[in-house]
This record gives sequence, C-alpha cells and structure tokens, in this order.
Amino acid sequence: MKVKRLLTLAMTAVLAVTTVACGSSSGSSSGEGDTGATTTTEAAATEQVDKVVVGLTASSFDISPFGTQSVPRQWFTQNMYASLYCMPYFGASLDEMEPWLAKSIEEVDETTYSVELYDYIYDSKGNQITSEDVVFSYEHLLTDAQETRIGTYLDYIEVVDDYNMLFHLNKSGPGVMEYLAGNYTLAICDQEWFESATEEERLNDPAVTGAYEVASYTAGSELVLEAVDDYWQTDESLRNSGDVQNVKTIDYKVITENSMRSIALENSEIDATVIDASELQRFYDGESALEGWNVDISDGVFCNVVFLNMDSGMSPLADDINLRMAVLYALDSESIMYGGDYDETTGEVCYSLGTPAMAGYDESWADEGYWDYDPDLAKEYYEASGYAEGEVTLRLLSRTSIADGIHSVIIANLEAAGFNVELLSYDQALFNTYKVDSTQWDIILDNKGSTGHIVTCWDNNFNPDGFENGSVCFTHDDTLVELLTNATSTGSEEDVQTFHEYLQEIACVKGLFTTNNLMVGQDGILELAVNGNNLPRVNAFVFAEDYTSVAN
Amino acid sequence: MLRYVGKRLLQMIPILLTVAILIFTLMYFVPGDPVQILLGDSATPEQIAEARVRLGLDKPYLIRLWNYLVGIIHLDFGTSYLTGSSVAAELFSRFPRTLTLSSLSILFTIVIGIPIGIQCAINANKLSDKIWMFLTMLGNSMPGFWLALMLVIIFSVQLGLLPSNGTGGIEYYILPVVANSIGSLADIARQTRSSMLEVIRSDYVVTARSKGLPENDVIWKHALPNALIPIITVCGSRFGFMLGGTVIIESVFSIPGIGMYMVNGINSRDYPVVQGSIIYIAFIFAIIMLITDLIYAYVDPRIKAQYVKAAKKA
Repeated sequence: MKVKRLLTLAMTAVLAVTTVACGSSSGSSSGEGDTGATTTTEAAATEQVDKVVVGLTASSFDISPFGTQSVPRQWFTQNMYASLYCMPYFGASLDEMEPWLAKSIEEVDETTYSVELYDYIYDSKGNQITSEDVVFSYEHLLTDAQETRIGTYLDYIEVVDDYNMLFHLNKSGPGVMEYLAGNYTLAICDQEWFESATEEERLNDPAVTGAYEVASYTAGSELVLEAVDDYWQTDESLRNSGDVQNVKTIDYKVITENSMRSIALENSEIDATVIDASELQRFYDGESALEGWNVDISDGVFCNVVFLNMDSGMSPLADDINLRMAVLYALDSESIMYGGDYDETTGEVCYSLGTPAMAGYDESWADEGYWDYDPDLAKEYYEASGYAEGEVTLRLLSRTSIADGIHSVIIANLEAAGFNVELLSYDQALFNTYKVDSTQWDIILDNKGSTGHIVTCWDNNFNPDGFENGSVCFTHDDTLVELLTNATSTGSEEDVQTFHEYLQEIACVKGLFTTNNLMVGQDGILELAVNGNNLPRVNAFVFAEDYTSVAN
Repeated sequence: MLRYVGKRLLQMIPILLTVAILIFTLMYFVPGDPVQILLGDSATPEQIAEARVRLGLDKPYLIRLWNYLVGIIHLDFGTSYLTGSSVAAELFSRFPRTLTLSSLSILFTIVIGIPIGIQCAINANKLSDKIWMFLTMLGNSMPGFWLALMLVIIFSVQLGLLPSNGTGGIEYYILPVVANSIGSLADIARQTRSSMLEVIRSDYVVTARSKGLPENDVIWKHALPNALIPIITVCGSRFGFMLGGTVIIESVFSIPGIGMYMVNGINSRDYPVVQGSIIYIAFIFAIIMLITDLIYAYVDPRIKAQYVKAAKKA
C-alpha cells in the first residue's frame, strides 16, 4: 500500500511542480543579451553558408507553382520559381529591374513589350522553358493562383518563337509591366511537367525554375529548400538578387504566434524572422539592434486609410462636404498610429492614399497640409453642416484583427468633433463582404497597397471598371476618373499631384499611417535582405564569416 | 457485442449525414464571401463572377447540397479554395499529429488526474485534499494560452530543456501535452474524488473493510471500478474534444493539426475545409463515444449483461 501511495504522490508531484513553476514566473521578464549595441564591422562570408532557419508567419499555404497567394508564398515563391525579371526593391521601375528568365524586355509601344528569354533555361527536373511555358504559366496564374491583376493588365501574349514573345497590355503606365515582368508572387513553370504531374507531385515536389528546390515539406509546418546544384543560370555575372544562393539550405518553420517567434529567436530555434512592432524592444533599443541581433526595418507598403461613403442617399457624409471635412480634420493620424502600438520607428504617418515607400509618393506632401489634425476646425465644419452635437451617427466598418487602440482613438477623435460613432468590427470574410455594400457603413478603415507605384494604388481603389458601384467608396465622379486615367497612364509628377489634390478637394479619403516591416536575425546575419514587397529574401541574406546557424 | 458495435456503426451514418446537411446549410447562409477573400481587392466584378462559376458557388442551394452529399458518400470532401489541395488528404496528413497530441494528453490526464482524485477522496476534508482541490481549481481557471506561454518561458527560454514550438520527436510534445492537459486533469481529479466519495461510503465497501480486506484492495478492486463510469464519461468526451483539434495549443506550439486547419478554413470561408473538418470531428466523436460505451461494458458487468440481453431479444 505504501508503495502505491508513494507512486501516486510522485505522479501528482509532477503536476504540483508544473503548476507552481508556472505561477512563479508570471511576473518575470523574458529576453536575453539585451546589453549594448550590435557591431556591424564583421567580414561577410565569401562561400555559401550551410543553413538558415527562418520563422514563417502563417500556416495556410501550399508550394505548387499556381497556389493561391498567401503571406508565406510572398516569402518563398521567388526562391522556388523564377519570373521574367526580378524586382530588386519595392517600387522599382522596369529599367531598374534585374533580368532573370528574360534576357531583355523592350518597349515596342505604350501597350506592347517584346520579351526575349534565355535559350538555356531548364527547371529542376530537366525540362526546358520556352515561350509557350510562359503563356501557360500566366494563364494559370490568372485562373488558379487568382492573380487577378494579370487579367486587368494583360490582354494576351503573342508567341513569336521559342524564346521571343510580345506582351500586349490592356493598359499602360507605371507599375503595369513591372508587375507582369516580375511581381514577387509570379511563378513560371514547364507546361508539360505541370500537365503530367500528379497532384501529389505538384503540391509536394514541384519542378522549380528558381534557385532552390524542395528538400522536404510538411504542410502547415515546415518547408526545407535546398540550393539547386545544377541551376540553369551558370553565368554568375547574370545572377540577380532572386537567384543568388548565399545559403545552401533554407528551413522555413511555421510559427504563427507573434510572441512565439520572438521566443524562438531568443531560444536559438530560428536564425531570423519577422516580428510584430510590440516585440521590437526585445531586440532593438530605439536606435540600434541589441547585442546579439541584427534588425532590419523596411518601409511599410500598405497604407492604413479611411474612406468615406460617397453613395448619395446612403450615408449622411455622401451629400455633405462639411461633414466629410469635419471627419477628416478630426482624425489625428499620429495618435491613431500610436493607438495601434506603433511609433516613429515602427510606423510612419501618410499624407496621401499611399505610403512613402511607393514610387511617385511626394515627400513634400507632408509639408503642404493634409487635413492636419485640428479638432476646433473639425467642430466648426460639423456645426456648419447644421447638425446638433451627437445628432449624426457614423458607422465605422473595420476588422477584428485591427488593434483596439486604433478604433478607440478614431472614435474619440470623431466624438470630440460632435459625431456619434458605432463601431462595426468583423472578421476578414464579413468585412470583405460588407465593404462593397454602401448601405453597411459610413466610414471604412482598411489598408491598401500597390504594385510599387502610387498610381496603381489609386487605380485599384478608384477605377470604376473594378467596382459595381463606382469605386471603393462609391464615387461617381467623371473628373475623378479623368484625372485618374491621366495619372495612371503617365505617372508624371504633374498628373500625380493633380490627382492627389483632387482627392483632397472631394474629401472622400484620408491616408493615415503605414506600418514598417520588422525583421530580426541573429548577428551572424550581416544583412537581412528584402524582396520586392519588403519581405525577407532569405537566399540573399549576407552572412558573417563565422556565421553558424542555430541548426548546427 | 459485435452486433451492438455493428448497430452503433450503422447508426453513425444518419448522424453524419445530418451533420453534413446541417453544416452545409449553415455555411451556405453564413455571411462572408469566399471569392472576395480569394481574389482580394484588385478583382473586377467580372473576375469575381467567373470565380464563383468556377467554384460552383453560383449554383442553387439544393444542387450544391446534392453534389456535396454525393462527394461525401465517395469520401471526397472537395478541395480547399485557398490551397487547391484535397481536404480529405489534408485531414489525413494532419490527423497523426492531432492524434499524438490528444492521446498523450488524455494519457497524462488519466495517469495523474485519477490518482489525485482517489487520494483526495481517501483523505477527504484533510489538508492534502484541500490543497489538491485548490490546485485543481487553479488548473481549471488558468487560460490555456497563458499556461502554454508560461511553460514555454520556463522550460524553453529559462531552462532551455525543451523546444518551444514545432513538431518532431517526443520532446516536442511535452509542453503542448502538459498545457493541453491541465484543465482536463483538474476536471478528472474532481470527478474522481466525487465518484469515489460516493462509493467508499456505500455498504459493500464497508462490508469489504469489515471482512478485513487490505485497504488497497478495497480502494482499487472494489471501490474504483464502481466509481469509474462517470470518470470514463468525462475522459471520453474530453478525448473527443481533443481529437477535434485543440486550436490554441496547436497555434501556440505551431503544430499543424486539425484545429488550426479548421480555424484557417473558417476565417477564410473555405467551405470545403470547414465542412470536411466538422464531419471528421463528428465521426471521431461518435467513434470515441462508442468506445466509451464499450469500456462501460468492460468495467461494469451489469451493463455488459444489458447488451447481451438486448441482443438476445433482437
């Protein structure tokens, strides 16, 4: 009996120890090595390093060439699949892009480009890539990968011969051919392989045209890529940032929780990852990385923005510019940014519908006045509209994923101007459904991106061809469309400025702030390279001579 | 007994069909358009309409329901809108991880929870009982997410003993299992204490003691089997829930199991994923309940006798 009792007590003691240990640590802080600044004078490795382990931020993705786009795919697509050109940084123009599968892309006229492929491109399974494969890939990117911009931008591809094509576009202007030539999510693969492969092969062991092939893949958990030994581009001088092979093995580990990624870094389970702004202080002291870490802060590419409902009769704002001006002057972009737990390091105030990272964004807009926060003026406009204080209730449509602090500041700003505010916060699916319905909201808080140039951001939101009801905020304004057409087709400073000013004149939108992309790596990684969307470009990381992966 | 099992398995067919119809109908009427999510902001109305046709979302309710039920009968749960992969294959590949996590968790729960409950019952209202009941209440009250993070901070970050996330050897499952089990363990301990208290006060236990049987035999051979029925019920339902996917644990520890798969499906209105996952959960739950009933018969001869009697009548 005693033995059994002792056994029972021993087993129960496990629980006790666990519980007590948990309780005692609740007030302790985590993090380590937070002393002093990092040094960046180390020599870079000249040889390919063995391995890097990187934390991926989401689990819902697949690795087939034409899989639906997701955040993880924006990281690794260009490791596995080559595009015609490589976009070296966000907002690069066609002239600044780097040749990859295409030897050259030349403008024939405004809506036609000739594309010449290298004649020695082979995928990892030995299939040669020709013009027909490019045509096939673009068709599948549109239908299978839901790359809808291809349908908007591309009319058709005319095959001239095995290595030459003509791209006929539906529209001209900055950002259009750049997107088609080398967006970071476009994959080109061999038609014959794709059509003969089983679903299992497509989803787990695809033929790749990029510099890395699949070594192992566990859906939703881990993707291990290995540098292709006999990569088709043998001329080192023709390599670009997308197909350099600075590391032999890239191990992407899915860690969806923000805090767990930071813990995995500190616990030496991964070498690098992207972190949330709230985690930055564990690795960065406000000016430089803490000892043991390297931090890369890249400009945000999405603009957090409010649109006002312009559908006449559907919202009190639509027919009353005084009310709209009251709203726009009432919103304090900087406070809203801080409300979301961002600061000047992790975010930046925007002064248009776009972010400073976008080509065409004019930094001088910050000095020109952009509904600068003025609660008194907001109140004056509100009173000028003839409504009594609290008489107008605005429905603010937003998402549950947005920080509560952002909602709180917006509501406080608007209430100070005299509005009542009803917050309608939904999950992404419901938000997407309601945002196209003008009866559902008066103000919508959303975030908007572009393919690199600010005019593509404007085009996405105000081109009436993209909407059943005018635009993202239901405008039906011929002048707006005319000015948009000018800006998107030329991208000239004058046309961009004119459209920017017109948006202010009609007072239907206010860009608030952008959040920067934050990447942290161990200090053996000297440079945390980013791709054309300011997300990690792991193959191009620069490693120190004495770099050792956490995996070793 | 075999006839009983066969009958229960046959009963599962209408249950699963009802679940399938219910979940399909719910997903049909729930607001939120999967195509809007799939295509994003840059899609034109024409592209959205084309995608609806391609995914079969333009068809009327009854046709879609019929197609879906025909698919299920052929064990085809469709393909994910988002990844294009077979839902059945994905569930199949994720099942071993969820099964491992759940089995280890329920084992941990039983091995620790039942002895605690027995000790508490034997020492009812003494100091040790009060301490354990306090601790079990604490275990019940701790949010799983917080507990998981605390375990990671202590055992991974501070002590460096265990990995903080991912899948691999058994060491990857230790923290998730503990975090996943504490709540259930507390429940089972309390349930065991309550059942045992009832039993050890009954006449036949008093008789056993008066016959001079050792206390160990009285507790383990006479009292415990009779107290097990409600404990098995709790264990069965807990195990069923665990096999349905423990979303928070899977999310914190980055374990690609059924729970994460279903939650991703719900968030993106990926109908085939949600429907397939729920039918899987219903199936698993029904199987676990069947196993629970069979265990009842094993531990309690009276129940077994009822089965036999019912079979003879039939």
